[in-house]
Amino acid sequence: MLVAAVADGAGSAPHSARGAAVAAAAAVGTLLRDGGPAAGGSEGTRAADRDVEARRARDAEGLAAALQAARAAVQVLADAEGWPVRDLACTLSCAIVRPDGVLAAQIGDGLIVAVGPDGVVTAVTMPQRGDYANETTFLTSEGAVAAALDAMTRADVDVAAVVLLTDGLLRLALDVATATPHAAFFQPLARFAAAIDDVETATAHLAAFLDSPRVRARTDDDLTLLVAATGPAEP
Amino acid sequence: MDERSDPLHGDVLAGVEFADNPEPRCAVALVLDTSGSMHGRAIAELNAGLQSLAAALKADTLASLRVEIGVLTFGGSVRVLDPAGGVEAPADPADAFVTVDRFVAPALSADGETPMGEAVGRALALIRARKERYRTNGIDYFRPWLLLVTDGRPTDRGWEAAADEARAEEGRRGVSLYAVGVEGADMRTLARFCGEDRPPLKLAGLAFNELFTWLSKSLSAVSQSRPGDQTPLPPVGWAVADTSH
Repeated sequence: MLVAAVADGAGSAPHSARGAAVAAAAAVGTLLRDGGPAAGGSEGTRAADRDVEARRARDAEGLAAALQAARAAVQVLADAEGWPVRDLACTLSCAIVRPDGVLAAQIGDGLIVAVGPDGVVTAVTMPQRGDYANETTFLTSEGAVAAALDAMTRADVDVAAVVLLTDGLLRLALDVATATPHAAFFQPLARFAAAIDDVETATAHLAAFLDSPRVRARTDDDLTLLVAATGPAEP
Repeated sequence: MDERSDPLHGDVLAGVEFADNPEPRCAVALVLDTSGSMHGRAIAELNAGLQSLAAALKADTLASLRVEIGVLTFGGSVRVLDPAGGVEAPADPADAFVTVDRFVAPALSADGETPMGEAVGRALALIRARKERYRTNGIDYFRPWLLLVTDGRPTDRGWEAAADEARAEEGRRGVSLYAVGVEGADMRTLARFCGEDRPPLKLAGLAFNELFTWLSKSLSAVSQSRPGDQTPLPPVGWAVADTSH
């Protein structure tokens, strides 16, 4: 079981890189502190988790708290620096991943995909776009957190790996015409995630992949890619 | 296993395949006055400006695949040109735009009255048809542009309705309308086609070349913008203050 978040600063917002960093850290920190995953270890909690509905409700509360904490953290930074909060505009995609499903909330044009043990690829979130290709919503937009919580999505599928990415990779990872994840993009990433035995080495491999000529030939945006395997299912 | 050389990981990532998506598009409708008053130097400079536009956009690899141009003229009657240089008007309104790599700048001549209202109405309809085409084919797109150039005032009945429609379409962010008045243009009437945030600008002399150079730079910037970008446009070096009212 794991929690994950990615955030991408808005191109037009001068301090959006710091906004994105603060937002993602606050979201994950909140989930680790009071969300479901932190409670996943003890025998007693595992018994309680047999009540699936109760667990799901807790996960949803955790995710709501995570997004609210991200918004609050961005506000705190803006106030401390004397910047308008829109100068920290960023997207945020956030997920609680369990072997039997993913719960996710998202503001903006990120993408969260689950890959099953059989290689089946499921979009947990899809990028939110405005009418036009250069428009999306941001964590700092009016009402964005409430809308994202209303639109929280859950994919009840067996999960071997989860992939989160930001908009720079969308045109490589999504088949736009059918609005579906490009399976041949995600399946090798899931195999990669399953084989990770050293995080630093794996991170270096991923960075090299993102900086490789064949990726750079297709996008000049900044890129964020998070891959994680759920590991063997609990007995 | 030696993690630092770790051949498995590199091989696995080499197997990541990419989706093959069409480029996002930015349509621009050029709605050009070819009425009798444009005859002579004005139409010659306009034609030269269109050549500059084509050359500049073709030289920008990404813009040449993303920017789509359609041309309508109003001089006597309204004509929708084949932007790929053919003599027949496109049969399907959605075919009135081509990507810049296929665009052939027309050689326009000037004659007749100024049915500007009808031309703007037709252009808005072509833009709507093009957007529908994008949606049907799953193509991302930017907000289309409409560049209206005139040296006069509309002579057609009902131009006011077309002006209202244009202003409403701009208001609901369906199009970015830029209106340019050449010497002799009725700027107050032209303003009725425009949103409050984007009033018409008056061309300095016959600086069509500067106008279309600005347009190509603007379209290059917009067609490569990303979510959240405000896409600052290059400074307008071709306009003068309007002192006509």
